[in-house]
Amino acid sequence: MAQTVVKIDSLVKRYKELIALDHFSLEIFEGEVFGLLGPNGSGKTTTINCLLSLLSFDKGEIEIFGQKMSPSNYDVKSKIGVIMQNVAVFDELTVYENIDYFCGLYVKDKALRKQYVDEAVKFVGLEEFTKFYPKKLSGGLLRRLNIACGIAHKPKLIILDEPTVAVDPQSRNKILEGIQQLNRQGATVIYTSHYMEEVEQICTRIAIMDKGKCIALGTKEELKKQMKNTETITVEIMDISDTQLDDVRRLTHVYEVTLEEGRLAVKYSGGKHNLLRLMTYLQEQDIRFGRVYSELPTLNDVFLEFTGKQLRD
Amino acid sequence: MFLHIFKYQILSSLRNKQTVFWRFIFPTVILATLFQVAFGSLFETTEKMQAIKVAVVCEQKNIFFDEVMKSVCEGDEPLFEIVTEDEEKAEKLLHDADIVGIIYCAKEPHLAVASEGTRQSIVKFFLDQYIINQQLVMDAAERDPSQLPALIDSMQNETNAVYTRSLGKGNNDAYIQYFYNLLAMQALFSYLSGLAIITNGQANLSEIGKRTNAAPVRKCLTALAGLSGELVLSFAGSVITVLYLVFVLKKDMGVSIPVMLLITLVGSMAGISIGFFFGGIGNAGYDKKNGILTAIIMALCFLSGLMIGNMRAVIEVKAPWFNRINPAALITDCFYSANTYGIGSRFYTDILTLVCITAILTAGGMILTRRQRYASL
Repeated sequence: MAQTVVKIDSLVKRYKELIALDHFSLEIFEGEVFGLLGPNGSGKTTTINCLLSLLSFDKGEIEIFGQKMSPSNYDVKSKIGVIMQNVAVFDELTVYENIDYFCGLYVKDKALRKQYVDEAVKFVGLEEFTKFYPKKLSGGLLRRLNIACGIAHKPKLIILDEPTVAVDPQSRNKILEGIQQLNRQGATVIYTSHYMEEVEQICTRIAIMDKGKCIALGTKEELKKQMKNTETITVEIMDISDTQLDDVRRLTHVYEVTLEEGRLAVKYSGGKHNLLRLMTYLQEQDIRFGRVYSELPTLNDVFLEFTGKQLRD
Repeated sequence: MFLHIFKYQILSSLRNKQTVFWRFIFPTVILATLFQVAFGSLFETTEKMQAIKVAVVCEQKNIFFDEVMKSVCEGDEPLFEIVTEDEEKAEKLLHDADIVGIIYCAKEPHLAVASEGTRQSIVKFFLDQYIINQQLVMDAAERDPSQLPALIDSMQNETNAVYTRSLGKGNNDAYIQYFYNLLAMQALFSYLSGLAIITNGQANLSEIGKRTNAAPVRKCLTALAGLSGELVLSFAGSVITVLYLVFVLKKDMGVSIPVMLLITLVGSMAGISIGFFFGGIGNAGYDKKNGILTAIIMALCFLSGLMIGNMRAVIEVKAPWFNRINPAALITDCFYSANTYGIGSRFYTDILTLVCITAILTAGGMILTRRQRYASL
């Protein structure tokens, strides 16, 4: 069994009346790309700041690499790389100098540092921009620089707090591929986002947060299995009577039927050949229809079912 | 680690246009040159002691008075310059303010002036003194002429008791204090550096602060390295200004260059520590704190006489304690005392007070930066 890298036990963080983290517990294992998924204000960044010992908390304990985390635990800190939500670089230093500066806070040996910085530049694909100042970089390139500053020292645990906000698709793909590559090289990754597609794409395990609580935890398959909804079939329909709608509701495994603006949405909880059964019924009843879609549940559906609201609400 | 942070602190500050402007260009090129243009020759033309222009109109012959007037109008630094002896012309000159007054030579000389002022007072004092002495001599001659030589001796001794004493080898140009204030302001504007250091070192004040706090580095080490780098740059700015004043503008500062550099070094330390300490209080952003601190520093400079020359003297009368703790006034007073009295107890008191202010504020800033975790970010 993989070793525990991060252990959060019953963490509570209050801002006066507001409870930002409500007995939040979590265990992250070595080699995982762990996704913290939740809407804005759900407590993702608060969790990260507590993990890094930047933020005080009211209750609970945090262990990283088997050691109690504290602001002066430099041994643990030296193994962590952090990429914050907002870009944190010096405007007056070039791309190369910025990476060198932050790497230098972790690596004292000059020759080794140079090697690490060169590798980080290559890793994020900024070879052509090493002498550029941050203000001359596009949003995507700036994000890549931000990542390079956080991972140049080859940390064993990398924490990325929404690193793809306001990033172009090309840079986003580059960043996501890079995170997977870092993971393949042995780093454990904690990735927070409110982009479910990203989390679905790269995370091996996911915790869904809402109002400072972990409301669901598991692999994406495990999370989807926890849902009532297993399939949604949408049919563009010309005309259907109330009686016929009731018939559809009575089909096997159907638990919800809605008709809005000519789109019939039929939700199923389990079962096989649901599409075939529905098509057969429509043909038997001579109901004319257009396009037909069959959709498996997404993490957004998972989130919707657990919280009753959309992920980006 | 220290040298790594120190190097990048200097590099980033040197490339910061705003810092370079306020540190090097504004005080040196703009203000110093402006002050030189405005005040450079003002002292020579208006304030330096020059012979007082008077007219002497003879109403009645007085050979004693003639002799005295002759003696005070001679020499390298004559007290009076007699412009005319014609009464009608004298009255016109007095009316046009081309002369200070008309001295009427008579048995008892008297004076006519058109206005009040220091120079008019000097002429009146001179005449009063002459009349008293003339009366003493005449009385003595009438009572006991044998005592005249002794009386004249005592009058000479009295005169010799009042002599010009140079307090230092400095420059007695009253406008030189504007240049002292300029150097004080430049030193204190180093607060910007202290503010930047604390902002970049605190997780609740900047994103760079978060990253720095997440790194395995002691906060006091990063702060000290940053402060050292900024002190080097601030001092370099002061060195440039001092050299510019002395060698380019040919300004006689009245204080030797090493002493000026010592004062500006200590002043820069005080300035940086002000920004470092006050920048660490509260969660307000850099821009807001910068605005508040700029206003405070400008107020301190104003109260030390940067805008109104005699303001420090006014404060000395109204609230002398404030001049003892106002860094701008202390820096200015360092220059002033070194120029006027030489390096002495007053100078050392000022310097030590500045060092104490620096030590207290830096220690306070360090305590603020040592905070382990933040309540909110």
